[in-house]
Amino acid sequence: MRLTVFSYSVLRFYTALRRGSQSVVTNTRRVRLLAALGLCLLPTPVLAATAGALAAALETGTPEEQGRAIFAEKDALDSGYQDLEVTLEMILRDRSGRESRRALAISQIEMGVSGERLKVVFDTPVQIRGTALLSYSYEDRPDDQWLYLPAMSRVKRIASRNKSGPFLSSEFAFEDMMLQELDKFSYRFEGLEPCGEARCYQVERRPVDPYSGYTRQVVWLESDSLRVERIDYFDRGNRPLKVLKVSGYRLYGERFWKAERMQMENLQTGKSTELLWRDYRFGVGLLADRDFSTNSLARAR
Amino acid sequence: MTRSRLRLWRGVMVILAALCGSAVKAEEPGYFDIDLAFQTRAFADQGLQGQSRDQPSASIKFSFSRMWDESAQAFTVTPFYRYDSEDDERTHADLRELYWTRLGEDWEFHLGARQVFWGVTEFKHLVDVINQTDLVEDIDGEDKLGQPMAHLSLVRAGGILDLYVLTGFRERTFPGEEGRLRPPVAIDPDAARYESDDRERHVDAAVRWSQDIGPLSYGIYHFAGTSRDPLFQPALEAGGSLTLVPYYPQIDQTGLDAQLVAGDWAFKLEAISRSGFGERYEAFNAGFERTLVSVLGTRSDLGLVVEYMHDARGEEAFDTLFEQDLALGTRVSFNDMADTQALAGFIVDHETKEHVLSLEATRRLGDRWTMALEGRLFGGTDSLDPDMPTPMLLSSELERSAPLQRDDYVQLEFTRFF
Repeated sequence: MRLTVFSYSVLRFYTALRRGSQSVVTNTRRVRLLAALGLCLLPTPVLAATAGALAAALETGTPEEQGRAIFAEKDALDSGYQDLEVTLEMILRDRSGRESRRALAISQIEMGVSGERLKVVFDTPVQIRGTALLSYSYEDRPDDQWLYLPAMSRVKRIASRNKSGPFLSSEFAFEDMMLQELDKFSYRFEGLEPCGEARCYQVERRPVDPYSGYTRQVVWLESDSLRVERIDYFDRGNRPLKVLKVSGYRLYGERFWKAERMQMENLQTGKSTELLWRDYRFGVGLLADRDFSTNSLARAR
Repeated sequence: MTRSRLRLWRGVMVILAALCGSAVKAEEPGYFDIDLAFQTRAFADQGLQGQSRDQPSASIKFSFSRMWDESAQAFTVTPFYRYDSEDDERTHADLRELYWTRLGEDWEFHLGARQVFWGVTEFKHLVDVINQTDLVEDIDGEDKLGQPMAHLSLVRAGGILDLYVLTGFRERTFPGEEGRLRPPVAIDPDAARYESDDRERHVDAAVRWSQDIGPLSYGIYHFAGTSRDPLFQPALEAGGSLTLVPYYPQIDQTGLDAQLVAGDWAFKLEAISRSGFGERYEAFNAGFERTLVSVLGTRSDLGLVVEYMHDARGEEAFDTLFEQDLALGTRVSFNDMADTQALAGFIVDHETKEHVLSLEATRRLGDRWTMALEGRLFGGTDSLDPDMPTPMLLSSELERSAPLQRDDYVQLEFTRFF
């Protein structure tokens, strides 16, 4: 689940905000790159500045601008990781408590202004070991995705529109697991609510893609760190479908908050899926051509 | 046992344990897996020459790989062995893979026996030319023998350039006298003939460029060398009986595979132009696949596949049954905990009405076992008469799928993964 969304488009939004502009300026690629560099080199003052921008947006913006500003800020916090590796255990449970476990190895790389790349390699159950998924995400067009089938040594391009289907038979859909760029939702700020001991921003977001399985999601973000605490999902008929609860946050590299545990309950079927994220490694020196080409799928096992 | 031999034995065990132990540790790059499979085939009829209706067999595959040098180098070995209780030719071993890899920032080099697949269509793999088909495994042509090669792959300018030098030719495997799913006269693989005087030592070469441009993916290649598909020539055995021997000509083959993804549609094309079998000829597969998720309010995904297969040689095409055929397929993924999947296909020759119905289904049984069911039914033409004299069985008057008409079968396989 890439709640941690990474996009440079957010910085574009800050620039626009700081200029007092209402609309999002589109041709500020260089500004964004510079801003991104600044973010890497001088995290503290820049973050303080963007937090100021968020505060400004929250004070004066419309609920739509406020919601977007929160996610833009979250994107800025999450970007600049360069590349990462993490292992994921997935525990599927049905209503009678039967369990099925999967283990996956996930790697990810930032591609500057052209998006990000994600690779998922299936480790267990052993029957599907070596099967791998590669996804290139872009700000302005649908993902490119490939699946590797080890039994035939075959790389198969797959249609990424089918995003609403279950990911590995779990309660997470493909679209929940893939990278979620800022522009792929519209947003609306709903208010600041108590959540546990903290306070959370509540933001409704609606997928732009008509092939999404959701009409809307209500995301609860802890107001200081913008960590996602909870998401309520509503199906195409706007009925409550799923609830995601996120816990066990840890701070990595003094700036990236990552959760250890995500629990997704399907309200309509009683099934649930638990995700356990382990062993996050940032800046491990992955290379786009070597580790995220279609060639890399065959040696991913 | 003497002390020194004991010590040696213990040393070997320690090394093996270290290799296997470190291979299964998640943080060490590498793996060591064993698949052990028990299979049985049940045929509806006895074979034309009285072959058995039941064909139990067992196979084992080891998959071992180790990386070192910060994963810049790797060694991979995948031996495979099948014991078949009926068919001596199907009892066979093969090194599916045995190669060394050197990895650079935007290139990789492999030396040794490997598996390479090219193509996009589902029913017939027309452009796939690097590896020889292990035909005794299955008639779908998806099992391949390890091909020795030197392979350099360069990631360049948004695409991938692959260069292959293929050293050493692998002869196709064929079912033996007691085997099923074969021509009415058994093929004698030991008598293979070649156009090249170098025979199986002829060095072949291939080059391929592949690229993804937005929703379009394509690959274009040229292959020069020994044909993986043989011609069959009648020959008289020492005892005076008639057999078929494979003949492998030299070919030049240019191929294209392309796929365009649009929404939940994928449009596919494979095409080749090949010289070496008489006049140069062309063949293509074209079709589409449509994937529907959560059909009828269930969790299941449904894939619909329609493909047309054309070969300019028509009925003269000896190396394929699908030269003017339409294929319809459906794939259902149930998205349940057991990963149940089913695939049904129907292929029909629109001229002769010969057809094949094929079914495949798999599901996991717990964390260590998989069950797979497969069935094929052949129809649309008469089966051969066992009393027919051998030369008549090879008559060109018969439809080419006639020998398969007695070979309707169901296959059940249980695989244990270690």
